[in-house]
Amino acid sequence: MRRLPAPLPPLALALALPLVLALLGATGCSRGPGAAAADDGVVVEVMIEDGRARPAGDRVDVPTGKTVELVVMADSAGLIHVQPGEDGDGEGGAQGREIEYQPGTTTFALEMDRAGTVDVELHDPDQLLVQLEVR
Amino acid sequence: MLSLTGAVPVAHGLGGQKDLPIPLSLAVTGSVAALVISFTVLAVAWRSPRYAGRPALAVPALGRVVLSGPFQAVLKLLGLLFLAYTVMVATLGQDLLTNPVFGIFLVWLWVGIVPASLLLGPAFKAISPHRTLVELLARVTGGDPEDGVADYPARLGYWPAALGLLAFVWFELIYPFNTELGPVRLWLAAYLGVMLVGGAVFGTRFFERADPFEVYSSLLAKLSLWAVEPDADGRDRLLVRSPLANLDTTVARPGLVAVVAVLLGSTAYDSFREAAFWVRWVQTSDYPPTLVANLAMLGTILLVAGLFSAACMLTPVRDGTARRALPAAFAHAIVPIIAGYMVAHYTTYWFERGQVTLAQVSDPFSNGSDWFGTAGLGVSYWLSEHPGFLATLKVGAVVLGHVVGVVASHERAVGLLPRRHQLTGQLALLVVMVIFTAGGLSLLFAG
Repeated sequence: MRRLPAPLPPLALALALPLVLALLGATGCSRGPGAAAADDGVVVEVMIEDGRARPAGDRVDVPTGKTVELVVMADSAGLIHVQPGEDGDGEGGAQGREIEYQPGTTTFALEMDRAGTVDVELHDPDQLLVQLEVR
Repeated sequence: MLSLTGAVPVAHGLGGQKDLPIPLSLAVTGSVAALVISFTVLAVAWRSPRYAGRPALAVPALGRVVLSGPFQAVLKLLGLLFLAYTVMVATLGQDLLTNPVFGIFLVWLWVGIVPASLLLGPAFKAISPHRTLVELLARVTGGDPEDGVADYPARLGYWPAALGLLAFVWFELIYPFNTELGPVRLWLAAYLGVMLVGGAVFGTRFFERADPFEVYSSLLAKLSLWAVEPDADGRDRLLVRSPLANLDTTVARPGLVAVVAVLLGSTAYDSFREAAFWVRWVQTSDYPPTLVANLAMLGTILLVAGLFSAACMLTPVRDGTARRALPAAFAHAIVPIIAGYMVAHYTTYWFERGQVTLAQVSDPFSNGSDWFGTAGLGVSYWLSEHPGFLATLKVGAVVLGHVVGVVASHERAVGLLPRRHQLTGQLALLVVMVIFTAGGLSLLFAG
């Protein structure tokens, strides 16, 4: 049986984190599926293949009021959950919004009109794809 | 039955939109401020205990009202109505996220307990419905409501409350099905069952030591301006005094360190489980995510307890003082750090999800009814719309909590440590407190 690695000491990580993030920020960490800034908004590409999905937890900056173009390239149909919904109000809004994608490439537009962190999650497998930092 | 979000559980529970990370400059400024203030306190503050036996301001007029039988009875009645409503929606409501039971449990109770206790004092104790039921039972049977039929074992101290808090944070942060009705109902039923049996056996003293929510609320209430103490005639009177003097009256019992470690450690875990580095690591590793989550939360709690206890014991003591007793003697100094961090961590969630819950309680069965006229209330996102103000508020709360904690531990140290070691003896604990605060700010930055 494989041994589990010791859990990383979180406080040490937390203390080292500003440095690490600064380095990541400096070198840029979006490659393959990920984010690219377009003139009228932000494009986020998601790749779902053989039950594996990318990206797995990237952070993407989105200016408040801009539209995020979510491009889903998948080999089967499935559900993506955006938490919370675009308007953040009323039925389904504050609870999040469901997006059904089909095999092939599907594109969705998400309006980001309120500052905060928005999670874009895949349902099966249960995975956080990107966190949109709306500011 | 399907929940609103489909059959697949959403790991974030009631989540909603989360805050932006605080800017790096604020995190650094806050950490430096905490560091500088800590050592300034150590260098210039008083050298003999200051708060013990200090007179407080009596407020007899207000005291006559809030300590009166009818006022207390109204609060207890509100608590009972609240319980009845919660039982109703938990048993008859639909298994939808619009069922108000989720917001009542995870937002109003768990997060609302912080502002209520900081502003009003021991709020949960005042409305605790199981406390009222046990008091009624004692009145009917002619027993002693406070002591019950058996003595609460002193060596248990706050340990049952620490376990109860652990059971809550595990349910809130790790259990994947925490936004389904069945598990919430089961948790609440088990909690209420344990409380009623414990209260029937040990009396209301059981709630002071073993009820996780009452212990949490009453600890936070030590940071409020309010205190109730008997006067010369033995009658209770209401006092207004400095939160520092209030905090110093915290009684060190077994398990107090465990209570503060669970509260601080689990909240820290809640922050870093959503940080980008952690999410990537968990999602790309082959280990079962639930196992990783369990180990990470438990590890953080043990790390907090271990660092704190080691720092407390790394100090010269007077003859006759047991080193092992020191962590409990200093544990109250962590309470303000917890309060500051809770404010930073939960303010937006409480404000926004609290409003959503207020709208939901008006429609208990999710059928479009409007019992209290609040169903149509829109949600104000004022805090999210002012991220600069929000970030400053969060850092301010963390730094203020840190300062109060450092002053409280200094006060205890000058009373407890031998005179010539009063300053150097505090160093280890001071360093750990700075680590907690800087760590907390880094998590707010990474979160």
